[in-house]
Amino acid sequence: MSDFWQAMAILAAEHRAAFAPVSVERAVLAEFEAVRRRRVWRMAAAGAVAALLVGGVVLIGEKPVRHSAVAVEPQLSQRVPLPHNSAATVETRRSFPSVRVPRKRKSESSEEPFVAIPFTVPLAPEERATVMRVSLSPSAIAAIGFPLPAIDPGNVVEADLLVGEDGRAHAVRIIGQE
Amino acid sequence: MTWSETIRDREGFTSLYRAHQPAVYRFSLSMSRDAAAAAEVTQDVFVWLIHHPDSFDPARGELSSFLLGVARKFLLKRGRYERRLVPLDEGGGVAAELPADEAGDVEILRAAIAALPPRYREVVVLCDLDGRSYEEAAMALSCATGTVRSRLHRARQFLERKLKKKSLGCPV
Repeated sequence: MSDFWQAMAILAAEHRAAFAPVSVERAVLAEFEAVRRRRVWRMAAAGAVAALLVGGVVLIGEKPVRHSAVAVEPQLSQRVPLPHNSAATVETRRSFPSVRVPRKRKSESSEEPFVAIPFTVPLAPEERATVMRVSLSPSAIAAIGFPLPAIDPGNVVEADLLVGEDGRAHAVRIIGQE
Repeated sequence: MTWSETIRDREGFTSLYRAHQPAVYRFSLSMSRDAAAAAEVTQDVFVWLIHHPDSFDPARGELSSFLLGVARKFLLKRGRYERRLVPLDEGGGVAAELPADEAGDVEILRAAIAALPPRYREVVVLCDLDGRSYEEAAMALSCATGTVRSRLHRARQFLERKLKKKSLGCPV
């Protein structure tokens, strides 16, 4: 082996005997712990934020849904006997002074009377009623006893339903075809 | 244990540190010729690894070569900073002093390696002193294997010339 390689082997042996001081290991591991703690805190904070968001969404979801319908105290104006049950009567024409329902065709809807739905128990004298604006298919209207032969079966018809406290519709008012 | 598990587990990271710190420290020591600077660079490398664990892709090569590459970048950054500082006792000279004629081959070689330009010194340190393959050195230095070979060849020629001059009694 030449002098060069002998000297290089000695230097290599010296080189391989060198190690970093223990203080470096301590510092590196301390930084590792600090980073790990920060990571745990970040995860905990993210979890808390996610829990708050979920809680907020749940609370918002539990709020009562607003309908366009407005509860009113209808004033009886006319009593009409039901077509298939002469003993029972239902209020068909009422005035709703404070009702504010969005209307497409204001003139039509305000002039049309409510028509009693056949085979329903009539409203009690002090029972509160709710007017709900709905879209009905012609078949649904036919199912409750109002055939509309001139309407395209694919269309829908806008109507106001008079819903009693038991949640059942007692009368209907056809607004128009959409 | 996968890389992401190792780097996030204390035991795994400790064993990783103990396995790789000698190579990083030796390389830093040989390149900087300063034990304190080498310790600082070693610490910087592993702290950087803690903060950037995803920078290493096990599919692309060995961790030791990757860490040596990181250490090299820290050394270059440190060198750029230190070049702006002028030592009061040396008057700005950065070349290592070669030993007197009576010094042994080892001392002459040590001084000759220290006097090599950094790009030659790093291949000598990695391949001849640390015993790494050309491929590992190439990955650590971010260059081609052929570049490592040619630089190592020139560096060895330079070092042998220094030793021959000494044996012939010429001033080195």
